[in-house]
Amino acid sequence: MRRRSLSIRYRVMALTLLPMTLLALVLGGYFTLTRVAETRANLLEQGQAMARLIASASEFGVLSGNRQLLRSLSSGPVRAEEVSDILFYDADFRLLFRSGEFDVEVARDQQEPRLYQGIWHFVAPITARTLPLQDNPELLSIDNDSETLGWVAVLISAQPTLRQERAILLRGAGLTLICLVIAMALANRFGRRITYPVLGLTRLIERLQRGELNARADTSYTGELKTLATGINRLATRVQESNLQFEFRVDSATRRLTQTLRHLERRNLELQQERQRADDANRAKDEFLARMSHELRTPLTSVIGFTELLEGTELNRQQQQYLQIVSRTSELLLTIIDDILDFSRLESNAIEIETLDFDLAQRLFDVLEAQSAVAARKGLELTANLPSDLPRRVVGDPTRLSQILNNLLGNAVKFTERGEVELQVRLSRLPSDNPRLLICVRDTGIGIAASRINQLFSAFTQGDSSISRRFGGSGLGLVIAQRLTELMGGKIHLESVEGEGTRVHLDLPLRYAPSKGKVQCIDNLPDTALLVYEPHAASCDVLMRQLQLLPTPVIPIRHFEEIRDHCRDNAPCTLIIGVSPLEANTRHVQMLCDRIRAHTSAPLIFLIPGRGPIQLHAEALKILSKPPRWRELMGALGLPLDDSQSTPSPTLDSHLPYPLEILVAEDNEFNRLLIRRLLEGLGARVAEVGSGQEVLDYLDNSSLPDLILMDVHMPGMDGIEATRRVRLRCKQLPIFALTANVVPHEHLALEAAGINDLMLKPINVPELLRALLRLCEEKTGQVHEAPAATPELTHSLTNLTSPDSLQQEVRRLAQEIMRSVWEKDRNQVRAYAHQLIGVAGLYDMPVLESCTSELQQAAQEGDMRALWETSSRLKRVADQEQLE
Amino acid sequence: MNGTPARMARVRPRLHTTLLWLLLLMPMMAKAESPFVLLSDSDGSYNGMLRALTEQHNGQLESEVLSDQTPSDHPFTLAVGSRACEAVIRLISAENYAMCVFLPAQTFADLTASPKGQRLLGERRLSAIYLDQPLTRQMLLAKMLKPRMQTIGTVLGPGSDRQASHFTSAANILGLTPLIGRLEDSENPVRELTPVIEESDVFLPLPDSSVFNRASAKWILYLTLRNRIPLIGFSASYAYAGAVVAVHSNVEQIAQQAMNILNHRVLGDALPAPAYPDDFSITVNETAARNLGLTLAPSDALVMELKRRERTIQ
Repeated sequence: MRRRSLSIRYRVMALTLLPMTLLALVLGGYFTLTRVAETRANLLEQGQAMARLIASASEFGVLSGNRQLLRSLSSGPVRAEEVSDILFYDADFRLLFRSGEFDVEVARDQQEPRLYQGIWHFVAPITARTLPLQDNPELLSIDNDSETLGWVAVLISAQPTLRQERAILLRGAGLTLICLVIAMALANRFGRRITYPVLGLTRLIERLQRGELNARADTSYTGELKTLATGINRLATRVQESNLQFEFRVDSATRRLTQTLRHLERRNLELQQERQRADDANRAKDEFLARMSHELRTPLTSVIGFTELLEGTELNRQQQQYLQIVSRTSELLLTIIDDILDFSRLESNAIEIETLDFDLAQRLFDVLEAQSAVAARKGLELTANLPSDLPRRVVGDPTRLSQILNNLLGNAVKFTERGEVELQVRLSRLPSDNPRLLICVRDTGIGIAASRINQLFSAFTQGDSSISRRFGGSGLGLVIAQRLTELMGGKIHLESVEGEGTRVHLDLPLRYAPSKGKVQCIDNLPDTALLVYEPHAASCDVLMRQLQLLPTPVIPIRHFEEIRDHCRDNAPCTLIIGVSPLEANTRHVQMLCDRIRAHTSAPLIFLIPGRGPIQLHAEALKILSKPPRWRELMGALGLPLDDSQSTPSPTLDSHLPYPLEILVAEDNEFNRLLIRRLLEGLGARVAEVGSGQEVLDYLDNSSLPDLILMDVHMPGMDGIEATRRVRLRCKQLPIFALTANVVPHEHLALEAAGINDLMLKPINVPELLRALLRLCEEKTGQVHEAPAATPELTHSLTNLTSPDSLQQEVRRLAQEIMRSVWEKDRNQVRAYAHQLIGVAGLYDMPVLESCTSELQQAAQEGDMRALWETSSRLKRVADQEQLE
Repeated sequence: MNGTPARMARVRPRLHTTLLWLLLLMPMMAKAESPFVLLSDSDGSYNGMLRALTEQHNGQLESEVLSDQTPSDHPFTLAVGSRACEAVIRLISAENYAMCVFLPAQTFADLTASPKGQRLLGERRLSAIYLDQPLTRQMLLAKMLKPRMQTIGTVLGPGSDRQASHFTSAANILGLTPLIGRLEDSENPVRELTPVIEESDVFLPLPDSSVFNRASAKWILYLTLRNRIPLIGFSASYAYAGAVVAVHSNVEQIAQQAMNILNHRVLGDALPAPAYPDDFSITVNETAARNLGLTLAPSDALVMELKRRERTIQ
């Protein structure tokens, strides 16, 4: 229950009144009742005393029977108002005399006063007492006992006493009431003297709490209340002063803050503008990068291609030297361009890590072989230290893994002048739920100062500024490797000692692919001893560890003279000869071969770094790259190969396991036709539309397809808007966007619109096929293996159309553009230019694409001069026999 | 040798004188026998009597309080009180003596009314000293108060005829008219007393147990005072209660008289006749006397005057 709170005034009143009231009631009651009791006691005592006195006085009258005497005796008391009657009785209780005449009943043996019919009866015996007359008992013997001579009954009316008691009660009550009223008045008066100041101070505090700081207490109080009031006033004054100071400070601070905010707003606005400019610049940079990448890559590939063609021609030594320089710098430039492209895509999160089943060892050796030529040229020993229990197939993104390892190995080879580069692979199977693939690329290169190691993972940063000048490169390799590793859920770190070498550790999650091959036992190995000659100790150890897995004796030799000891008596043996990269040319290897042949004619297997063009004149000779692929080495040794990898690659003729219905939205008819043929060749059913609006119309009028392949740039409603609208209707319908643009903001816009996947032009057919197979899996619920990216599949798109028809289409579009330019119809120019960009993108014709983009830009800006120039250039490009 | 007869002649008279004195002193030596005191009760007044006797005897007295057991017989027994006197009279042997003290004359008379009592009195082996005063002494005192008095009243109980005759004779001796009221048990005492007292010049109440009950004693006093009649009391207490004068003998006076008798008695002598006390005292109630308009001499003067008048009468 809520306790009711009383104000201090009522509390003071209660505190004062309660004891006083209690005291007044108790004392008033006590004294009143005492007086009443006393009145009654007085009455009784008076009656008893009167009875005793009259009894004593009436002794002679009763004894003598003198009624006159009795009358005179009782006449005095009877005059009193309260005495009703006095009765005299003799010893036999016979009435001798009485004053009154009313009926009365007096009891003789009544010891105590008795109230009868409103009259008190007091009865006292009249006794005769003996005087002490004798000095001794002998002279006179008188009985000292008293003798009852009669009785006296005094009758006293109770009425006067009752009236007196009533009067006492009334007076007592009245007095108590008066006391209470006085007490209340006094309590009220004194309570007010206490409570009024307290209430006043309380109200003052409330006013101060409400912020009325001008309020002050009345200081006319007395005692502690005056001290309190003065203290509160002083406090209020201080609070007011503090408040004023505080308000002043707040006001000042607010003014400063407002100024700061305005300044910040201005700065923010400026920053927004700057950011807008920066975004625009960034977008322009992206577009520029993309465009320039294509622009640079295309001629560069031509340069590289023609350089290779030139190497095959008759050149003098100086020309060859120049050519090698051209080739190296071109490759370097290509790498830089690729790095920049990759970095740009990473920065915009445009790269997704794939989950594919692949042969890990094969992928590792692919990377090693890619670097082996450069390493061999620099005389570096390239070793692959793979564990024997390396899983054959794992799940991951083989392309990005290759890219990382290419970067790392490329760096190792690049920054190592002599010594070796080792690719070391280890497995960490514990904990079992998180097995790791640990790859280490070790080199004996120049190393990196410890203080600069952390900077290596920053973009465009190399170990030293001199390195850029000395070794070249973009400085993006490690950054790209790190980003890709992190995307794969792994970690990368680098240890290096300046002047001794560098170790780059790659820690990747290991995911086993479902095992499809069967374990093969090698039991039909010919009883042949394997003699291994490998001058490089580390390579020798790796090779020995690999070969010792075979059930045949493996004998390392240091000198060719030892061959005789092991191959005498025509004991069958095979020699595996590791060639130093410094001697990996035809002359040296031929000399080596001749020296061996001087000792034995046993089969030879040469492991040559870089695997350059070597022409040897010897029999029973096999040449493998160094380090050798295991399968190739087994094949060279005549051992059966594991053919689990020889599954037939899917070709274009492969049908999808489910006939997907695909709606192709593409404004260019030529492209539509191409895509239709491609998809129908894969086993899909295709419907075509030419714009975003037609997509919506198709969805309104026909059944939902299984997939929409949506071109981004279409006349009218583009692919982004069409995707957004389709998503409003069908949230689950898969939409793959097709674009030739690598600009990130367009990709982001597409993702925001709700596409499921993004296909870059030119179309990557294996990638498209994998995506379609995933759709089929969703439809059928069965798992279908994605086909490997075979060249047949990769180039299937080109095969779907003839070069003539492509050129014809390009020329047609170019003519239409020229005509529109003549007619100054910029819209038409833009429409045809857009179609041409699509065709160029689809068929990977960057030159044509770049030229058409410039034309479209000029048409958009209305710059007729640029329009004329670009249209003329376009005409020239389109009229070329070899479209680029 | 001539000196011897002379010396003998000088010594012989002295010898005769010495022998004479020895013969004279023999009876004195014979009373050296101490009396046996028999007390009626161990009450304070009896003990007071014993103390007074002891003081007068100048030595320790053998005493005994009367009990249920038979008291031993002694050659001389001093019986104090009525009950002791009665016991002594009953038990006294033929050769022993006894004296009763501290009892009224009427009581002694009643105790000795028996033959043995009469015989003992006759043989003078029993004597007494009364406690009360002779009527003549009291009436003389009355006359001293009111010399012109004619009547003297008293009231007696039933069966007090002998006392009435004594009262009448005593009054007659002094030339007064006796007024004797009779008080019966059943009668209202006031009614009987009032005419007697109203008619008397002096009222002389007698210590009669049949008269002095609780009511009459007070009303005699009340009526005399109311009627302004002088009342002669028989005890000091009476004077204190309202009697104008009271004549009485105290224990010392009685003890002295008794011990005088014993001390002067030769062993084997007969005892004197029973007698009233020789010595007495008079107590005056000054307030009562003043109320009655009497002017009285001091007590000692009254005693001397009374004794003189007694001697005159005798």
